Amino acid sequence: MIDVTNLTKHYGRHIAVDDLSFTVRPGVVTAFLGPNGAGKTTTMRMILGLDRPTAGRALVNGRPFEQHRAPLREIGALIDAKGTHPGRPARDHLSALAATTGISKRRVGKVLDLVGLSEVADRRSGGFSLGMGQRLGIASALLGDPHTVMLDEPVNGLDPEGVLWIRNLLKSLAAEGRTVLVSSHLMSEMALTAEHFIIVGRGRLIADMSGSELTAMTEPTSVRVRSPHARQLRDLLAGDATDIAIRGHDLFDVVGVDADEIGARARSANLQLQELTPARASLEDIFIDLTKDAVDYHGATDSTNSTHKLENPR
Amino acid sequence: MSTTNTTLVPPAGSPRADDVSAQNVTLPRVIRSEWIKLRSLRSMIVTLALTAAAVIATGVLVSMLSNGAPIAADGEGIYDPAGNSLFGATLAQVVLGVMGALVVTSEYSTGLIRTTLTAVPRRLPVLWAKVVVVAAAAFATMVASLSVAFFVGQAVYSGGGPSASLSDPGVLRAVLAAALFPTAIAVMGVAFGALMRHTATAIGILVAILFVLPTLFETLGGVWGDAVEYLPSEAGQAMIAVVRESGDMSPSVALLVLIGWIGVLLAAGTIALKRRDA
Repeated sequence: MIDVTNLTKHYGRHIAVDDLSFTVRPGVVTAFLGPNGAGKTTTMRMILGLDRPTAGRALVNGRPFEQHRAPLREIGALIDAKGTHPGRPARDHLSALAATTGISKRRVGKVLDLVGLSEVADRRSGGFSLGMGQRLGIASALLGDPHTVMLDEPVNGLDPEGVLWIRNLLKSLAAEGRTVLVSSHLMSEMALTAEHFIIVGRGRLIADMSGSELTAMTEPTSVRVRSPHARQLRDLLAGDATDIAIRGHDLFDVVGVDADEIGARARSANLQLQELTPARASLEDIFIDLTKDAVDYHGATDSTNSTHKLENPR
Repeated sequence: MSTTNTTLVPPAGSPRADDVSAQNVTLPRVIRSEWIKLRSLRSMIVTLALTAAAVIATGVLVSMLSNGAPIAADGEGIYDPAGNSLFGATLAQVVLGVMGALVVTSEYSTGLIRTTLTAVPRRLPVLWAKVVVVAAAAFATMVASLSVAFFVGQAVYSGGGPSASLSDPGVLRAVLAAALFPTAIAVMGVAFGALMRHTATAIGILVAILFVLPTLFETLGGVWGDAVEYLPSEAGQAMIAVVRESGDMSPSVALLVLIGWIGVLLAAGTIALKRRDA
């Protein structure tokens, strides 16, 4: 359990985190999303006591993190891919960490197995690939069998198999009743893994809700209609629809008229319908939409309008 | 302690482990952790070995060069056979001071400090543990290498001029002081590391205090000239010298001066470590 209350961090005149409050609950994977520079890492650093908040506070399992007497048992964290000395073998790195709370050598071997680094455990971590370094960081995070796991951009540098491995690991950690907070700047990475979403932009909270609540936030963007009488139906709707896009000889998407209305009109005109599907924006579209004002540097083309609306009735 | 999750039953094969019994963080545990860190870096072991080799080689070489045609330790015609064979301590202070600084600054440059402070979020035990481990490693290296340097050096002398033995007045104290002085500089290195966080800055300031300030103070003269003997390098020399000139600081006062330096620097280091964002 992580409780963040009115957390604020100023670096000089720059406000990195602005009056942020949220709670991360056990049992589900919570995604911590925001564009680059949204304050995700700074928030995580304050939760760990690495940075001192300008105002507000963060509690881990009910108390400030530094007050825990066996901190590795409370929270396992990966803050960035580094965090190891390149000249030190992986096993020694973990052993040194384990020694602070009297964790056994056996446990060190076990987490090395778990992340798949046993064979290279006695090699210096400086020679590791980004993905191996990431795995070592995850091994450190799991070392103390913590109640809460907090990972900052854990899939960075992982190959597709590693990404899948992380997803399954996160889900199983949550299924065991742990609190799991994972940051990312890409919704696509988290949409399949997380059940709860905390979205921030420019240091402020934008959304704190489940995936289904997020999806429900937006009106259906279009309705897909399939009918053998597609042309007649289009004529019927033409007056009220703001846009109609033809997708095939019997298929089109309508914007501006909802599914109930289309169904009613088809019925009264005695036209058969084979499909009537309201399309909602994907989580990714919603995320981009929610955070577009908070992105520091936009690309030249505006991708937000073209990606949803009519083109992706998923 | 939190009991939020104690009722959870782990599925088989999960990372929830039967053999994890995380205990409270204590200073001895953090010391053990820092010791594992020190011994698992090849560069640290090599540094200590080279220090030992240099201390022995320098001591024997100075003894050989001064044998028969005694050279003075301070260029003023004083013949100090014990001091000559302990000459390597002067060299060791730089290397061990740099090592002390690196033990802290390398954690900042690699990002390891964030991992370390997540394991020990109260922070200060990390600094104390680093001081203990660095001091122990430095002192052990110095005692071992100086003992060899001393006995071989005196064996060189025994053929020609007068030589010293451990039972001579002040000699045992000199050997211990020659081991303590570089140890003190190593601890100062740790403190500078905690204060500066950057390797180059920490080492630059340490070297400036050891080698630049004495010359600068001498040049300025007056009050500054009188203050020279309170600089760590001069206090170290006063502590080691067996044959002393009148007006030299006594070894026990010199030791207190060094302790004062360490105390002030470590106090500043603790404040920096505790207050600044990591």
